[in-house]
Amino acid sequence: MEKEGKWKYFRIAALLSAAIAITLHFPLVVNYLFNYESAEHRHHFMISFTHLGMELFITFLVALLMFTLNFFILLPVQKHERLHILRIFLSVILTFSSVTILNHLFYSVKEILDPQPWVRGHREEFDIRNFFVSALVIGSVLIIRLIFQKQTVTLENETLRREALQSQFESLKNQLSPHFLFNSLTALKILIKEAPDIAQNYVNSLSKALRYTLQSNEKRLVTLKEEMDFMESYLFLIKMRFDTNLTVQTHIPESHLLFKIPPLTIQTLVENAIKHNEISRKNPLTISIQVTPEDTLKVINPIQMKLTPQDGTGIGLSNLSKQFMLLIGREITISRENNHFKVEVPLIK
Amino acid sequence: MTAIIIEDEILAVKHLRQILDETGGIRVVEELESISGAVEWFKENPQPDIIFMDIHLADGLAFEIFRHVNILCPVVFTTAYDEYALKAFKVNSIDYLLKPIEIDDVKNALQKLKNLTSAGSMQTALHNLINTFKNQTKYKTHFLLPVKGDKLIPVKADELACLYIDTGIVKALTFDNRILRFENNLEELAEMLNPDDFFRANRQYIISRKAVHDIDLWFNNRLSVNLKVPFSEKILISKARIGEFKAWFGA
Repeated sequence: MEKEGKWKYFRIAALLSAAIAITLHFPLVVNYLFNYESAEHRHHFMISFTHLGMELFITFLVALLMFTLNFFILLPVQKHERLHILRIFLSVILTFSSVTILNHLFYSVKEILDPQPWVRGHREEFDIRNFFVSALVIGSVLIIRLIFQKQTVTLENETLRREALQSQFESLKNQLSPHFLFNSLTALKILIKEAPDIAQNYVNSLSKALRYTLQSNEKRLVTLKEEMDFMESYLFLIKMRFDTNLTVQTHIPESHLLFKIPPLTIQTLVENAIKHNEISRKNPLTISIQVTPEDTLKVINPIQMKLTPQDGTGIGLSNLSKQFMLLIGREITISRENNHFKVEVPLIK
Repeated sequence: MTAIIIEDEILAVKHLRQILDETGGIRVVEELESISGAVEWFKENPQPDIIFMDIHLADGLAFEIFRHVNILCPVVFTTAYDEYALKAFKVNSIDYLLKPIEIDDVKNALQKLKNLTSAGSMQTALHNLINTFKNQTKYKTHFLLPVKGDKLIPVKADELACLYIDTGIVKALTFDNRILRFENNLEELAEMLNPDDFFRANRQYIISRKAVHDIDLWFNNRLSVNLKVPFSEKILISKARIGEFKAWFGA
């Protein structure tokens, strides 16, 4: 827990301890407040302010100490820690025994300071009180824990949702980026003149790709088949621009076409490879898209670093990683070996 | 008039060539696709009368070429869309063509070149342009960092609380208490990170503004910075740097 969280916890603990103290000694409080009127009772049972104060203070102190104890036993160290039954068990035993010992201790001290024989009497009352203090403290801590975790989860969901939106926005912007569009139009312009048939295909592919991107926010997951259909159009556009300098090998067995991924996953990975690597006659680039035996999708390319580093390294990847975390709780694997850059994403059944 | 085209997209080259043919009076002597290709070519060949140059080349930004070759002939840049570049061109009154390129624009550019008074003004303009671009290098917001052998993980600069040197290795502590290893040294990182958010506290540490919890006065008029994340080492700011630190933190 963060510092602020700790403060909050102990503030609440102090308030609750006070409430517990007053509740448990309610008869005494009532007695103190109202018995003034009946003179004869007052004589025998009158409770001094010191006595009431001490009673309240001891219970308050014991409860607060127990809140402190349980802070270490019951509250999560990590954000998403699950509460093990053993910890509850430990808490119950430790709390109850500590309460008993502490009460004994404090009351012995109190007796020396304020010998009022009549309260000392009932052992059972004492045990019940110990039991109530323990139960109330443990119950409260568990509720605090629940609220704390709920808040964390809500906050995290909010963050994740914002990040997912951000990544959608980024991919939309990338796809519809003026740069992409105007480059495509340049290609189209020459195609119209030189190869009208290809130009028609080009327009079809461009519309397909744009439509898919625009609609990608409607679905959280698409089948590999849908994504690959789109990729065909996207790659057609890209390859018209890079010609034979760019090769994309795809190997996706039919058996995996119904597996799912978030829309634009493959596009993000391919685009990433194109953006950061040299693609030229001298250094053509080959990107390979394959399904592994472990049911993951792998995109690999040799590293052909550009001379001027591109800004935005990792934005697409970190967004993608967050998206996978949000959807299936698994991260994507990015690695670099033998001068190859490899990204592996889990496929969802 | 001889010209060369530096452009990595094949269809764009074709398109530009066609337009230049239509314009007439221009002979394209070479097509180049990359920074490295262009640099090599210029070393062995005389410079043409004009260069048409795309900003995004196969191996990086075209401005890199000027760092290796002293280009004396006029340059016309082409671009599909670059906000920064367009601003820089306008400021330095350098010619540029927007893709898809139109023949009239090429004609205008050529006309302007004829009226150009001296090669010197072009040189200054290019020099300014390159500087503008250098200053506009954006700070890194994301890193890919190695973990466990070959694996890499994407990390946002916002996630870093502090960067430090631990037995010769540069490491970072994140806000969620992870320790990450960097391949760059601390000097390089200090330049990559946005100085509004990160401060080089001393030779050992770079701290994030968001990570600063409080600051204690320390012996010898130094400051000791306490982070919001648990960190065992003491981060001290020397007397000489206190002014800078306060300016940064107050900014």
